[in-house]
Amino acid sequence: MAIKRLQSQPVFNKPIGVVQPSTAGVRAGQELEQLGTRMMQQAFQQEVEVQKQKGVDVANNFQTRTTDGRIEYRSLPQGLSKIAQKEAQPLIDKKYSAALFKDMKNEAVRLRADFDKDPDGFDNAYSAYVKKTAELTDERYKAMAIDIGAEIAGENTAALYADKVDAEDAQDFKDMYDRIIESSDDLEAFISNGAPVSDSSVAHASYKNLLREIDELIDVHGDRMSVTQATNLRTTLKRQYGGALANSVVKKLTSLSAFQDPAMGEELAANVINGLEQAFRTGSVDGLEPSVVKYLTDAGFSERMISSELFDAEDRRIIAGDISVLENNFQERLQATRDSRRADATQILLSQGYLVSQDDMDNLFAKNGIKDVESFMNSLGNIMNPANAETKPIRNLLLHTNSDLPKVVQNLFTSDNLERLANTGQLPIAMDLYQQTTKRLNKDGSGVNTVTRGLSDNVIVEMEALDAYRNSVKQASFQEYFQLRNELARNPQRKEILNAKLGMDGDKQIKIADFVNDQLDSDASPEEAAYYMQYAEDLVLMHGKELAGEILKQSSNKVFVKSSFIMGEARTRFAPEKAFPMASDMAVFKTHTQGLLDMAGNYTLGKDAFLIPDPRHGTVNPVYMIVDENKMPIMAGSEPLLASGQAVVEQRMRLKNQTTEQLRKKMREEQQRRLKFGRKIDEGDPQTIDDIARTARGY
Amino acid sequence: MFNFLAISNPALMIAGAGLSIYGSMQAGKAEQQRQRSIAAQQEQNAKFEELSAIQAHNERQSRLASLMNVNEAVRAKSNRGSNDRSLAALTKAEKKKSATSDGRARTQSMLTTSRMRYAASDARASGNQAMRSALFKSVGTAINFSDAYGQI
Repeated sequence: MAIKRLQSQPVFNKPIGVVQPSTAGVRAGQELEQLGTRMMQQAFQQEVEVQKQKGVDVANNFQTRTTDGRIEYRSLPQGLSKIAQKEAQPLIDKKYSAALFKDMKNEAVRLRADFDKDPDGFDNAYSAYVKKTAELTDERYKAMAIDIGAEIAGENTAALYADKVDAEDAQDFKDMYDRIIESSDDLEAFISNGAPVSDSSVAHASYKNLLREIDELIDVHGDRMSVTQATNLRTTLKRQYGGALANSVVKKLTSLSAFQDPAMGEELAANVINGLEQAFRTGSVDGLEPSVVKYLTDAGFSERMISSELFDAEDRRIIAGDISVLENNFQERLQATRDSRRADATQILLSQGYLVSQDDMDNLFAKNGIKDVESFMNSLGNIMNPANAETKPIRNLLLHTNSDLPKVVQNLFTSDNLERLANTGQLPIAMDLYQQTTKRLNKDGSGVNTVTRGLSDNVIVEMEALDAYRNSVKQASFQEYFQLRNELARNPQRKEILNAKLGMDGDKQIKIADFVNDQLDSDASPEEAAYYMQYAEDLVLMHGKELAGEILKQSSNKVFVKSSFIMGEARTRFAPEKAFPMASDMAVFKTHTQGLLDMAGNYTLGKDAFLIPDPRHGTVNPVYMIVDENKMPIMAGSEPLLASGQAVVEQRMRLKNQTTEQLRKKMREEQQRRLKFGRKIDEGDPQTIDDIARTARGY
Repeated sequence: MFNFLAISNPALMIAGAGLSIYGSMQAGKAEQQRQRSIAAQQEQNAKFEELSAIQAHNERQSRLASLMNVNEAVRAKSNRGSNDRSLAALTKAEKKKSATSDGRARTQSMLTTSRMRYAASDARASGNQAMRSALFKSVGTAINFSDAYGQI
């Protein structure tokens, strides 16, 4: 057997490779380093912001001037960081720049005032100032001062040059403009004072010349005038010229002999001026009466004045407007003259005992200065004072005539005004006025008659109530009376209070209708009862049952009267005897009505023909239907016959016109006398002159 | 309790710069240590390589000696003299062959060992470089800090 040998692979020790050590330590170190770097940078950035703000704060608090206002050059405070300095310095430089600019600008303003419109003088003075300022300025700001000075000097010198040129131009414009305006005014006055206005006249040449001057003004100074100013200037001149022409015509017109008549002259002149206005408005005289055109021509008017050569339609319309003002003045004067004459006529009629219309009374009162109820109320005490001679004419008109009272007096008796009078303590005077204007003693001494003077029945009842209250044992003043009345009108317990005042008849409540019927006369009509029913409640509430009864009885006799002409036996508010208390007026009414009946047949008023009133026309100027005994309308042809106070009114008008004509006649006579007197003076009549001298000497 | 928000910015900057320098130095130091560790391992590998080469040489010499002994035994058994020229030629050839292998193995081992020692040397240099870099970085941080601090 062979010997066994160990079979094995040889084994060697070999390199075992390299294990890479961890980089954690390196990374940790790097992280730490980066953290530190970031921390340092962040802190730095924050500190930079802090330092910048510090720089701004330092700059903001930095004073560039001393307490007396001078610029003081100072460095930045010590201890500032570089960043703060870098931030603060530009801001401080800006402050110094602004301060320098302000000082230098102020100096420029001062020097501009010294060297107004003298740019060269300003430039010299200001340059010296800039040089001096630069010398006194800190080195850092020297260049800045010179730059600012140069800029301001340039601006101001240029502006002074511009001002100088503009001022000269503006003055020239103003001179030209004022000259045109003054010349226009002169021309207007020249023409208005009667200068000739033909094509060859000085006035017309001046007008043309002014138009040329306006054109020249626009050429030279058009940039100084607004778009409308140039047009307005031309238009104003044209209208001044046209207005002056019209004025001239009107002046000459009113001096023509045809318009010197004292009675009709102004009326005629107003008519012709109206023609002139129409001519300007329409641009033609075609629509005018030949006589008007002749008057206008005599006064200097020519158709060229309204031709398109001189004025366009708009100009003519404006001039016509100016003429209408003149015309209105004439019309106002004319109306005033008419009113004055009418008042004189009314005065005469009243003094002769006639009645006049309310319109005439209104006019007469207006002429005496009483145009509204306020003024009448204010002067009521003076008017009713018998000792006041100044108000005697008015007092006479109120107390001693029987015509309808003027509106201002009638309005005094409305409830509202009576309450105001009570509050001012004047109500007793107003009540006296009522009594004295409406109560007349019968000529035969049989008692007192009532004339309504145009007052409404409501006023009569109210005044009678107040009069009864005054004559009773008054429980309160008039002021409290009206307060109580207002309270009762609103009182929710009104019905209960009324019942309490009316009282009981046995166990039965007395009704207001029963109360009214008890108070009225036995012959009272249902109409009368119904009429007083509307006042009865207030009367009982205010005055109590007894006094209310008295008032109703008093009022009944004044408001309702018996009539010989009214159909039926009942008393009525519409009796013609009440409407026409004057015998003459009643006679006119009867004659007129009888005349109507004569045309319709064989009737006699009050015998077989009677009147039925139409309540719609009221009691002051009543209208009646005329009926026969059977209440059948009496016809004139197919129309029923109606009677009214128209004939009375016409009769009053005739009387007034007659009186007005008499006045005109007197005026003409006076005018002729004055003319004659003037002529005698002109002729040097020795007698007349002697008379004047003696009058002047007082013997 | 201390309020960190109340610390002023300059103080924070100083602290930041200190942290940055310290971190930088720490990173350099850590890298240096790491590279030293790598170098040590490379050195150890070189030694192992040398050991391995010696062991392989010994093995080859052992196997050559065994072969010589076997051939000597075979010569004796076959009664061949010590001056047997064929055997001597054979032995010479084997010795030459072994010497060639030894030479080649030694060269290979020397190259490998050399490379490993180079890697170790390189790692040490790298660690030193990282340390120097950290130092320069710290200096740069200090200069930056100084400049910024001067601004405020």
